[in-house]
Amino acid sequence: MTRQRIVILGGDLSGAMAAAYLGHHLPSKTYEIFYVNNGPLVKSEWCASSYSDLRKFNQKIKIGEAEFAKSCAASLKLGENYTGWGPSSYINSFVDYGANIMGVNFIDLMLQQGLYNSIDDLIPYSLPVRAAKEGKFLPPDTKGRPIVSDFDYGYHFNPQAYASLLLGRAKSFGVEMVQTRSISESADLIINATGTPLNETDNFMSWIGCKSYTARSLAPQSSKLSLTTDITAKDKGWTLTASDQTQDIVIDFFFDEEMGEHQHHCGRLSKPWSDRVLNIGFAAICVEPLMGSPLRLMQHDIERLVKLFPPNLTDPIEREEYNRQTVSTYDRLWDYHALQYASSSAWQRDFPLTAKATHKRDVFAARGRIVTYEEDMLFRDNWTTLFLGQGITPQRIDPFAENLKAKDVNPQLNAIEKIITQALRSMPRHEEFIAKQCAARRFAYK
Amino acid sequence: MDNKKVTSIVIVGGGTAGWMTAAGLCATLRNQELSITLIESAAIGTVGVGEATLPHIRFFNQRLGINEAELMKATKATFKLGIEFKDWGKIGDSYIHPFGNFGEDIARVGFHHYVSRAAQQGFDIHLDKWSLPVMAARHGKFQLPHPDPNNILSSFGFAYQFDAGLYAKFLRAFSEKRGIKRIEGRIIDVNLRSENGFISSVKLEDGSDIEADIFIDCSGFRGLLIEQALETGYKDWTNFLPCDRAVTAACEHEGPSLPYTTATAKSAGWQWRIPLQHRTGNGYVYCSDHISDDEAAASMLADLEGDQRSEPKTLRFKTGQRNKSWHKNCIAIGLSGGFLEPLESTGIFLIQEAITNFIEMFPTKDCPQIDQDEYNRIMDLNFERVRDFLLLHYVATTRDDSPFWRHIRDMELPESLTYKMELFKSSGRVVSYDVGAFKDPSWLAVYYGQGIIPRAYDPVADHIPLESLPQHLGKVENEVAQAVESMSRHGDYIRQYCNAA
Ligand SMILES: Cc1cc2nc3c(=O)[nH]c(=O)nc-3n(C[C@H](O)[C@H](O)[C@H](O)COP(=O)(O)OP(=O)(O)OC[C@H]3O[C@@H](n4cnc5c(N)ncnc54)[C@H](O)[C@@H]3O)c2cc1C
Repeated sequence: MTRQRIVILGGDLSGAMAAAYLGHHLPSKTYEIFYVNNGPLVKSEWCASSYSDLRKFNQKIKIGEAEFAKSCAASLKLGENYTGWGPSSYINSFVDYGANIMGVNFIDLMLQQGLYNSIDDLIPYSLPVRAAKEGKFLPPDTKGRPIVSDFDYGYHFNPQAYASLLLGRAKSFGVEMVQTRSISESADLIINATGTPLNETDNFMSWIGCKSYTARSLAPQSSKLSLTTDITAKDKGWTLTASDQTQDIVIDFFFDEEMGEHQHHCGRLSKPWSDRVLNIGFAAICVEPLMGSPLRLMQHDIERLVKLFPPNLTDPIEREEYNRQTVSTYDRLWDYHALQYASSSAWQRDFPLTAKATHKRDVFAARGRIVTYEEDMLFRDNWTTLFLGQGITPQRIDPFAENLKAKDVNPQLNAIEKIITQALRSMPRHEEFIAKQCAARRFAYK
Repeated sequence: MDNKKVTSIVIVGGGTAGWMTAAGLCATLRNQELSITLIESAAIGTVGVGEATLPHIRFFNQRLGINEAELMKATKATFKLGIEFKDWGKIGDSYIHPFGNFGEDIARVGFHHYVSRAAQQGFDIHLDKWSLPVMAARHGKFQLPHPDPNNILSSFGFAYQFDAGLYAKFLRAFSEKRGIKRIEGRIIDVNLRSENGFISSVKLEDGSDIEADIFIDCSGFRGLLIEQALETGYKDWTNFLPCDRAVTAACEHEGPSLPYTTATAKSAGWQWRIPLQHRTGNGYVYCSDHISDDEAAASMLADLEGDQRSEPKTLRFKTGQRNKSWHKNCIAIGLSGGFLEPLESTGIFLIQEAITNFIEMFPTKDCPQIDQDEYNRIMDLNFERVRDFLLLHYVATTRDDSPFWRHIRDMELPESLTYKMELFKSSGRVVSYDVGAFKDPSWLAVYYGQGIIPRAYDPVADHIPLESLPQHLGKVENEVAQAVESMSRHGDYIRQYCNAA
């Protein structure tokens, strides 16, 4: 039997991720995989800050955490710090706030008790937010009590180094590295990770975000290694700052297409996969790096591809399902980005929302519930934080919270706060943790 | 804000829906200053069917703090591990749709892909042997799932087969103990508020008007409030699910006690058999275009397993869903909200979903549109997804032995279903969703059970060498067989756990 030929056209980080992931998952008896090298990574800075689920991706392709951190200079990330977007700055982390008490959602309970005036009032009840503020880190104690065991974390890292690591893995899984594109002529499947769509006919749906950017890397600007990605609203756009072990990445995003060094257009293809060409990464979708979105989508698209991999590559139905899930994932994620812009008081600009996004915001504004849609990748309290952080406070609270008594609630709130305080006490500083566990050769915070 | 607080709710109807709603509300809202009144009429009575349930009902009862054994005793209940479908894919077939999986993933690939691969090699792939609940059901075995999730004896869920009338009675006692007011009487009129068309009160035969902020319509098929008063409209789905009648009768139980329901496909529909502790419930669900009521009753009686215990009773229904489950200040729960034939025992499940969602979206007096929209969105998803799943049973078949089955064969299907089936036929992928009663394992059970075997399987499954495939499959088969061997007989288990006699 001749093997099916898969050719990955490199360009952005998604190509290297696909090479390693497909190399590991698709049996080499039936598939031969080629990776076409294409020079330095496209938009690599956009991938320097991850969501928490990158950890699972690495586990699946057998990349250990220490190995990853050392070779990619990874620091730990407990959330994103949004400044200037809402009334006060706020951190969006990878876990829900507090805990349900007596069956009542934590936020409702705080509101009902009159303990909530701004999102700052939630800080005592979030381990990752407090750890980030104190500059401390220790991975969750999986055997510990809920509050201490159930938070999660991502990374700030060097995407270029990650690509090398991935391609090394890919080679060990039997993926062949080639220098020219000509091999794709005989491919059964072309995975286009060049950053630009291959099929002219694919229509592109535009979204309104920023239009240009300038990216820089700098020597560390602070003596402390931050546990958050800083997302700061500016007059003409916003700025992302992320620090890995050796350098700071700064990206300025502008609404105006003339202001940045590079232009970009937020939007997505309506059919990422048609015939034998599958567009992934920036070729399929361009969203700005809030909550690690671009990298996250790369990861999820690749995992989805393997989950739905067509035994017969000429069959259209798996392709159709891939496109259905992918586009709906893109759109729900864009809802998050659009709401991030639209509900911010930083700018007087119009940001259109889909009906689903509007419904989600309105239900929250009315009664503090987060509507869940299928193919929504964010945690409930990612949304809660976004809304509360930008000053949307629910008008009504859960009727079941209405009769909670302070004498019943307070001891539990105090207990949560205390558990976190105790946990923090035994956590090392972020820099110490890295120095001990996973320092890269040029670790700058020794 | 306080003056917008809901202070009174009237539930119209004392069938399963009415009393489940009453119990659900009074258990969750017990701290609220809220008066709940239920109105029912003995003269009108209840529909009096609905004996088989889904595992979700256990969570409902747990939330109410109801003791399981006590409830089972009071309702003469048996345990249910799944539904046996006879003669569906073709005449002579039998498979069980269990509350549980078939095998565990191997190397992160779904077990069923290895089954498809084995099928290509000519293995016998009848799924029964790889599922603990199915084998337990076939052998008449039951015991509560093992608490250790790594133990194979934990790998299933279960539900009940019970007397729904007794369940309603049980919930009535529960609710009345918690302060629910019950009024016996017939409603003869519904008064609307002129300014917004909300229901202001219902008028009883004795002339009294009962007012409330919110009205829950549990009046059965007639939809006394939601339709007769508010004219909300109905989505008719008989073009997909053409059965429109059922004839039912109870009979004596024969043979060992069975922990499962049976649904046998017949020439103009299908017949259920639901074994309770003291009797067996039966009913022939049929399409009146293809069989007369008398013929259907005769056919139903001919298939009873034991002596008939009640006179045949015929019911009429129209499959579909109310345009809006929640309209103005009226929420339709139970048969008034919609009807899907009981092929997968979803009636009570949908009642429970409605109650849970209503509690989640509990409104203020003015019933804000946004609350209604979100509630209706979730209920619509629930109804449509159950509908497609039921329809799958009818279309995944080669039967064309009667005008009824030929009608089904030639029927136009909803695109949502044809798409799912096409994807499955290609490479065994199930279109997953979050909201809805039936998840991937259920779809797999029906697909394979009714002879839809994918043309190909997940290519990642090829990591397991072909030579070791029989060994992998054989291992699961042995584990299941040994575990089932160790289980108690269902009848014995009931006798010591919840004997009603
Ligand atoms: C043939 C068949 C088989 C079924 N099998 C199953 C099954 O196996 N599993 C399952 O989960 N579900 C099943 N169902 C569905 C299940 O029976 C119903 O969901 C359940 O019984 C709920 O009925 P209800 O309470 O909505 O209506 P009903 O039982 O009809 O109750 C209506 C109530 O409203 C009251 N009422 C009506 N009009 C007035 C008035 N004017 N004034 C005062 N009171 C009034 C009546 O007195 C009664 O109390 C089945 C349904 C049918 C038709």
